[in-house]
Amino acid sequence: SCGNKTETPATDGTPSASDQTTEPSADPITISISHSYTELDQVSVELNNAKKNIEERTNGAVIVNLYPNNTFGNLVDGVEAVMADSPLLLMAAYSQWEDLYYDASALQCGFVFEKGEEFLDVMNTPLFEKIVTEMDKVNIHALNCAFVGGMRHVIGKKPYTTPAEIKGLKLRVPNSTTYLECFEAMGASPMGMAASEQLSALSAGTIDALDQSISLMYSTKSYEMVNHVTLLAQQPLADALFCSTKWWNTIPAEYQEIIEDELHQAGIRYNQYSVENEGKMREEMEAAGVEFHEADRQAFLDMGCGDLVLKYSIGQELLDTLAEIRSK
Amino acid sequence: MSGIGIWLPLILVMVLLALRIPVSMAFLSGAVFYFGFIATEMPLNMILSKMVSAGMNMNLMAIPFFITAGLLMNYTGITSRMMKFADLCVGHMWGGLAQVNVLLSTLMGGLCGSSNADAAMQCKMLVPEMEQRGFNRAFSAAVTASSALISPMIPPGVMLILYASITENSVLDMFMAGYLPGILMCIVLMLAVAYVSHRDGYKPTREKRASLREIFRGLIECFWAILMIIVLIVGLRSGIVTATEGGAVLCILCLFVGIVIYREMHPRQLVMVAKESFASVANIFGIIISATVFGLYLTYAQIPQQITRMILGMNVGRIGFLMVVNLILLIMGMFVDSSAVLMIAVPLLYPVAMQLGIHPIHFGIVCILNLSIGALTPPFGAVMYQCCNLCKIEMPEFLKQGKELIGALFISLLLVTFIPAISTFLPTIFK
Amino acid sequence: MKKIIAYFRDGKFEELLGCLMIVTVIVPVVLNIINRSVLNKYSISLEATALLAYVWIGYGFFGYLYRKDAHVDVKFIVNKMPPKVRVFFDLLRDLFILLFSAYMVYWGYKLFGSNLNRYATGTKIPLAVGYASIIFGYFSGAVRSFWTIISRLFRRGEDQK
Ligand code: NA
Ligand code: NA
Repeated sequence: SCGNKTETPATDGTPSASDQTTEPSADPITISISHSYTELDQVSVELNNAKKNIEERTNGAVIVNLYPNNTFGNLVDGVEAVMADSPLLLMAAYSQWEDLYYDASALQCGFVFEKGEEFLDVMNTPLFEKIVTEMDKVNIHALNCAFVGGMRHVIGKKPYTTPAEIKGLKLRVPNSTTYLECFEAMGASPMGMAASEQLSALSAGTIDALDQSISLMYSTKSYEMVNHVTLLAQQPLADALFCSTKWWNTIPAEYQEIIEDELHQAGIRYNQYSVENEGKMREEMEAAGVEFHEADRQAFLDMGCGDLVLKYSIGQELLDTLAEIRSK
Repeated sequence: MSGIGIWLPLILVMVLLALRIPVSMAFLSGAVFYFGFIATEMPLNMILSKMVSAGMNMNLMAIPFFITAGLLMNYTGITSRMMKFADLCVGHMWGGLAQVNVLLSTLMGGLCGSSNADAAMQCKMLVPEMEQRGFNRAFSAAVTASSALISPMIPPGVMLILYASITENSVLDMFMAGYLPGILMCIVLMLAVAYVSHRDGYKPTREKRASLREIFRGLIECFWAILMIIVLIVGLRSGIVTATEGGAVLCILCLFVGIVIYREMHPRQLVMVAKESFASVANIFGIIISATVFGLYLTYAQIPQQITRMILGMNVGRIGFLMVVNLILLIMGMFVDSSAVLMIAVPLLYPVAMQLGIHPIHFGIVCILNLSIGALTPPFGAVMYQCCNLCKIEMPEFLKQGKELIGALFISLLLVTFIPAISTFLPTIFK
Repeated sequence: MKKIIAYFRDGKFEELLGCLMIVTVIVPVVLNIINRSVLNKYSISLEATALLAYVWIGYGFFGYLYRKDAHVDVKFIVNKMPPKVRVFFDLLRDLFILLFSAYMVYWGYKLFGSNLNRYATGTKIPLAVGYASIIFGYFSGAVRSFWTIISRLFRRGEDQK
């Protein structure tokens, strides 16, 4: 399945649209969306809305099936399925594709972003365009769907505000090298693990902390098990939907447009929701006895954590782009 | 994606099982058949990838350690010393060792995280010992298998956590809720064991209760073995070590006690342990990961959704709903890994349960108990297969000897279903 | 030469491999426990090594368990059949095992190739190591079921041991 690294046919745009009729054909296109969020998480809610809208707007010619909670395989299986041109949209971070396109990980790299909004701003730059184009070349199509849920922090048994406090901390991170490297640089002992396993690992004591956004702490209820949140904002929580470019090009352009549009809107709505509700969630967590701690972010930057991004060939460009955004 | 087609893999698996195809291969065949011939839009790569990724799961790591520990205990003379002591304590009771078996599972409950690990260790450790003392082997296996189902109920059971996170309930509430049903299962099973022992004449091995002096002397003799188990239980309960680590530490302690203190272990026996252990692990792990692969088919074909739709169409009210849920989950639990079913079925059933005014914690306990019991019943109960294999007995014999025990578990299921307080009492008073 | 064939045929080689694998599961985990409690470190590579050895145990010994007739399966239905019918079903069983094993070897080989350059997260251990277990386990299963079928077909007249 790695054989198709050659250019996709130059018929991008409206390849097979002319062969297809606009009316719903007898054989609808079935699309599966697989992700790791729970069914009650806002991500699921918005994906369900998008599903309804897509099916309505295409008159039932496109059917969307949702598979939450890793029930249809975890990220590793999903990556394999996408690479084999399955009709599957996999919800994942950009860094999930680092084996195929190394620089995609720069977007998830530690100590680059300070706020979730910055990630959304980067999505509108030529640099981001370039990343998406490069991924298409290795047969990974990113639907630019902006599921940005703020920044990831650390929730655990104790506050971890300084390099000394975080030294040796066993914590769970997603199964991807950039997360591991970020926490290794901070001096912790991170373990890669599927989201569906993290709570049992926390309860069993395999780990002492998780890296989660506020909305994830809230929806997974991890704050009931450990009650110290350190606001490190080390990495963004930014997911997109990915599929095989080859498969994506078999979908008529008009449907492509509807699907892409609805999923993008769903992402924007999710983003709004998390921005508007983060404060409320935090209050509720505080009422339940959770303590929030400001982190000494500068101390980690002084350790060189901020330089991690420079090992990616687009690293400097990303920093420059961000500097420009911040100066505005 | 409709019609009879989606049920074919299920039928195929049953036919293959009847043909004596290994269980693991039957599961794989079902999944390969579905994605190769029916849902052809999904490439087989995904199935094959799942074969490896399903195994790369740290949560399943406890199994080899507990199997090895069980074997080491046998070869090092730890088991026989402990059994001598257990005999001193309960030998005057009917079915003494069988009761020990149930109690041990309750004490260790939840710490292996899965009924499989608990059953695996006790099949290797307790069943040979029970047989030696006159118990029917199939009955011994049935006691081990049914008492292993207590594990998921007692905190920190993985399923309790999973349910809480899927339905956004409190994990701590679920933990508190698990104790009473777990203890209830223990009591009901012990009663069933007592009944069968009376009927089948598993007489007390001792004429009268051992004197305190005798017990004390016995305690001295197996001091190290008992200390080891206490260290393990305390370590696991207090969260100092994880289940896997506990298993690993147990293995090392066994080696130390066996080689340095009891001096019964010969290096050649270590090779025997490794040989036996890898063959058992190969069988059990092979089935667990193949069943996970088979689960991909159930998920993608939306089998649980189909079944749920059927339930919802029945409009049966609260009691009726709980009864139907019992039935459905029991059947689903027979097919695949219970935590997989939990993740697929609960999100569908939960909203209805809430509408009918069922307490969320109560509903969770009912679901988990159901799925666990499914692991004990044909045609696909994983724990049943495992115990049959480890103890070398046939399924009909297992069912014949275990029917009272399975019946007892069903009684506890009914009690838990119709008396919500068993689940909700502790979470409410500890609020 | 005969000895070497017997060594592989009787599963002695797999026993050796299996013992090595169970040690490869246990030792890295124990090392990591020491690592973590004493040195405040945790090695992802050790964890991945143990997990891949675990996967190996799950699939790599399909043929071995077949040879030892130690697989978990449902025997009581076949046992109830009259001997003549049973002979037929046993042949059918071996044929199915042969075909499905061969099919698994084919897919295992394909995935092995595509995973040579994909690594267990955070390590330099190729995931292909895991897929190799599928090739090995089902290949040995295919060879053995093939041999069983052949010897059944050609030794029918002789007394069965
Ligand atoms: Na037991
Ligand atoms: Na189970």
